[in-house]
Amino acid sequence: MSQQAPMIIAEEFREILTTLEKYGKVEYKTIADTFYIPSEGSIAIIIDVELYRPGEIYLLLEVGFQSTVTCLEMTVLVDGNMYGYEPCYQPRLYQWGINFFKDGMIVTAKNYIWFTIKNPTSNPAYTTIRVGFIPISKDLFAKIEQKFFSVIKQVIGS
Amino acid sequence: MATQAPPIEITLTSREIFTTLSFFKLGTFGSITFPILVPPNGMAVFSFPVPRENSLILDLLALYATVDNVLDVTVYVDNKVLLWDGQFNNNTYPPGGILFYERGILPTVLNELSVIIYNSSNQTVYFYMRIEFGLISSHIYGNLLKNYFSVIEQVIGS
Repeated sequence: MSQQAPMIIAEEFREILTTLEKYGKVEYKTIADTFYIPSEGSIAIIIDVELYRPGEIYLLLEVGFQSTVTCLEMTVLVDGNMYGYEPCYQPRLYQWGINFFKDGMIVTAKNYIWFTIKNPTSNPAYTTIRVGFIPISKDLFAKIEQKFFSVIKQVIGS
Repeated sequence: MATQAPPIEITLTSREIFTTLSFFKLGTFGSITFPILVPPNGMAVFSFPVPRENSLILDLLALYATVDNVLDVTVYVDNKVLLWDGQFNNNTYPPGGILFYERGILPTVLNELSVIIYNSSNQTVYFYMRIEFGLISSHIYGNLLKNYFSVIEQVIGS
């Protein structure tokens, strides 16, 4: 009787994501837009994941940012959790925004991404936000969770 | 005869575990900036106590001072020196900050992240410290140490 060899997955998780993209299971997308923020005013930008892509969730990989005014106050909320807080934006603290993926993090957004930007200065601001993300179906995410995460769970749960 | 599913073995690096924890939202991950005012010819002490039952993993540290060469900066992780700069200059550091993840390390704060800054000039200086972080439960962190690093301990302990 032949015995099936144990399946060994030695790929890095980021490699798994790259492979999924290569075989067309997921697609990387970039969206960017410029917003006007009046002096001493604020704006809120909400990306409703469920509304725009029913049955999918977003993997937020990077956020880019530039503005005609510095010292803006910015908050990023993802599904109710704070993923970014900047009380006084200084470009030197960032390099082309935040590349979560390069920095080893993958931000999983199941419901919404909420940006709030306040302009405390007396000058109006034009602010550009760029978001790089991967929509992934809930089914595929669940499969990864089921197969891949079960082993991790043994490590962190016991 | 009933077929038996093959066992799955996943070989991960500790950095990969960090990415996986963020993907599955097992903790809070993101970016936050702390502004610190340093008075003329004075000092400032900043302290961030890690919430109870949590461990703070530092992914990136970005620093910015509004004036060069007048600050003496020391960053402590649980009372151990992580960074000392006797004459802080913005050009000493890469734009965007020091990415620990890229350098293969992930400093962990169990109790307190603190900064002590001396200002040798006659003007007020603003110092900004941005961290990218993962805040995970001590339970998960403890189990990672216990289960994942037990093999490493055997190697280095023998």
